[in-house]
Amino acid sequence: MLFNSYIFVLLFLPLVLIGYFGINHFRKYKLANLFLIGMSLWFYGYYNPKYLLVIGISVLGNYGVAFGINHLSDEKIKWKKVLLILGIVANISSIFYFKYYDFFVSSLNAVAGTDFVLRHVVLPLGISFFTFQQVSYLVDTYKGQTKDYGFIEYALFVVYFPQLVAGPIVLHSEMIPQFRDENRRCVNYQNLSHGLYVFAVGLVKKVLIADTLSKAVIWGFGDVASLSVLEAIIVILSYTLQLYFDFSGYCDMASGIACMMNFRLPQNFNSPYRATSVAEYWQRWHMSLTRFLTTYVYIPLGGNRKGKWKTYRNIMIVYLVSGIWHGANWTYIVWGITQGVFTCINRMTKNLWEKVPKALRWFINFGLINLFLVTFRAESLTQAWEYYKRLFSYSEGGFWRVREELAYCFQMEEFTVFLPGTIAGISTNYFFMILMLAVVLLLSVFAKNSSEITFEKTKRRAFATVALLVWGIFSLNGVSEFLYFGF
Amino acid sequence: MDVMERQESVEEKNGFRRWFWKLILGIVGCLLAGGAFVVYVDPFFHYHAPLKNLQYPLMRENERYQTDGILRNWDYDAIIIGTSMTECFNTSDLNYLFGVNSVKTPLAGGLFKEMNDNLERAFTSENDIKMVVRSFEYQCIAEDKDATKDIYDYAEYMTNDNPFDDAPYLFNKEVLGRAGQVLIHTARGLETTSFNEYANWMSNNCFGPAYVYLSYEHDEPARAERVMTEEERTRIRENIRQNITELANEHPETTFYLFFPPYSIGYWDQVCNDRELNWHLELEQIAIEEVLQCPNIKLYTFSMIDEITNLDNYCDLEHYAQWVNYGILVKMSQDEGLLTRDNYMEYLERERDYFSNFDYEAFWEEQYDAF
Repeated sequence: MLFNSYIFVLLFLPLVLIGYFGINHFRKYKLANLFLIGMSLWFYGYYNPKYLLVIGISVLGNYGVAFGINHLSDEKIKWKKVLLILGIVANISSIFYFKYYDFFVSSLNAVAGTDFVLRHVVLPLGISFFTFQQVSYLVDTYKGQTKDYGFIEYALFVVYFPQLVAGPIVLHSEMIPQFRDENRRCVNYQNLSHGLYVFAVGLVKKVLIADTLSKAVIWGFGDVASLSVLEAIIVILSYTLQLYFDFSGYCDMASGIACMMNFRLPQNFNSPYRATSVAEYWQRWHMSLTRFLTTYVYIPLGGNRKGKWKTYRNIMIVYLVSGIWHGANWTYIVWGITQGVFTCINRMTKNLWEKVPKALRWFINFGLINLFLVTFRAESLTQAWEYYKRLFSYSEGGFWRVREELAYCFQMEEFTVFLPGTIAGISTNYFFMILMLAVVLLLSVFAKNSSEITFEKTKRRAFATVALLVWGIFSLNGVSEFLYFGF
Repeated sequence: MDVMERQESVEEKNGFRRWFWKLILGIVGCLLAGGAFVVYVDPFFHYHAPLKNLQYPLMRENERYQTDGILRNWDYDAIIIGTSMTECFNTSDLNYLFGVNSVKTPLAGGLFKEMNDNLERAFTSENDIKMVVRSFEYQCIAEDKDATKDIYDYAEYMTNDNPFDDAPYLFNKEVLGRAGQVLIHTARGLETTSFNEYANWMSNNCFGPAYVYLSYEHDEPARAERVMTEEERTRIRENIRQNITELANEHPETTFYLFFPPYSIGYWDQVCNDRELNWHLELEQIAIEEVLQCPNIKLYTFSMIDEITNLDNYCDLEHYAQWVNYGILVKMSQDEGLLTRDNYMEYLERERDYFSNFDYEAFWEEQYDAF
């Protein structure tokens, strides 16, 4: 199930809130937790019930390992370590099998000339997220930080639906105490209102902004060879903005839902396009992943405490892991490496960099983000290379040409219906494209993000909540145009 | 966003309680208003026939949304259905020639299953359907019985009777926009799009040898003759039985008029160049034999009519002009081109003879001079 779907907004979410608070009203807290687990599993298995098997085995298996670690005496530290390693290996193996098996086999076939068969394994939704979450739980268990968690609490921590499919990656220490806090079990109308507002903002970010921009991205990457320089710039800028509004929109919806239930999820985005360096960008982008990699990869490797070159090595390893985590393609690995390289350069030249005027730092950094994301978005390194060639050299498309098909991708009927077809002989689609990109970029940089907004009970806020939510719901579906002439 | 770090005062609690429920009221009110507007206007006829006080623009790009509604809710006793091969028919011509009151519900690019599913829905209406005119494309005959076009995002909620999945129709800003267009169309004094005009692509295309040539791909001749496999024969039979003859057998009161479309000679040039003529003829034979078992199906062929060698009648290798559609209806009304158990084998032999001996090279040279 997706947050941006009719069944979620009109049925699932009301049922969850009514059921959860209804059961809590009678102080049946364990039953309320079981109810949330049940609803979360319905959410997860909605499109493919087979996913439930995967997550069920994952939850049971990890809890079993943690139970074993917790119940071994302190003298048996070696066996605790063995269990921990087994648990981590099992988790990583499951991600490897579901996410990377075909990638590994096809790469091996390409390099070694072998002919191993691909298995076309269906990737369970969110496996990267809940697997990392549980790895962090096992490590903390080994450190003695999870002694008294029951199975129901643990299961709820893993499957809690707002963060299950796309994060943020939460820690047990920030979620389970909240589940235990009886004060959070009563309806809080301020949280309900605030959560609804944040959910509405996230919904609009996703279905109106991100989904509109995605049309231009699909168009551009569908025929890279024909792009002019300006078209290539517009398309990658659209992707940069799409990625942010899509992911942060989803995280806002997750936060909003959790807030309605009086829970707080960790912040995942802090206006990353305000960043003036690569390092700052990663402090603002997908913050829960950065936190996980810092805590469980960078620091155990020694962090920055083992000398300059080992620090750079550790940074490269972290970004390599990040690249691999993002997807099973060489493009992600190369993207991760470039992030690592530029983070190291940033570290080496920090003093010099800070002397550069802020606006110029921002411009260069934002430009680099766009450039890196070409590799991230491309289907292959070949396509990425082709895209870079379009950006930096003339092709049949030339420099200035922007086809109307690209401009048309940005069309939003609720606005463009009021515009004339042309202005001064130029199609209004072009003006709307420029306006939309400018507004969205300005929003991403200057507008307050959902964590910065002070929520107040004003008419303006009420109107915004209703308008955004209704607009978002009415934008969940469109009318596909069937324009197929030949059979 | 700081959620639980201070105790809510009673006053704040009551204030937010009222405020929250006003929000809910506002949201529910807007959804109900929008949904009610869609139900009332119903631009795609999902719930009811067109309202007498409103005029509806019918658009070709919305075929998949409004076909089901037209077939279930409009008044008619005859249907024209098929791919883009049927979009330029005039229902007024059919009505005049056959004395019926017809609707035209083409589904451009559709395969037989989609056509059949929509026809099944038509027979659930209260209409007494006397006649169905349907295109019988060679390419569609060879498809799997359950095949549908992958490129389409089918709106299944528009083609079933389950009201619980109608949210994408009721709470959809583009449907709201279409409903608004209905009001504007009416306010401008315009009338509901006639079925003659509906989906008609004549004005969007150019006709003549130069345009046909643009779609002509003369590859190297194939090395080997294509041979029909047993699997293909089975697939063809299953496709026709499930998607053509089964429905006809269930409705003996209705006459089904099927026709092989008159593709241009350029199409047959490609068939011969690809060494698929024998395969093609066997496909036709299997299809004809299946269809002729049904007493209420009349199958017509126009594959060798004079028009196919005059490329002014075509905008590409297959799509013919509206006047050819008219000619098809006239011929049908006179049973010209009707295939029967007595004549179909002789017809197939004539086809083999005609297309295998046609001088395509000379034909194209002649066309080059024209453009």
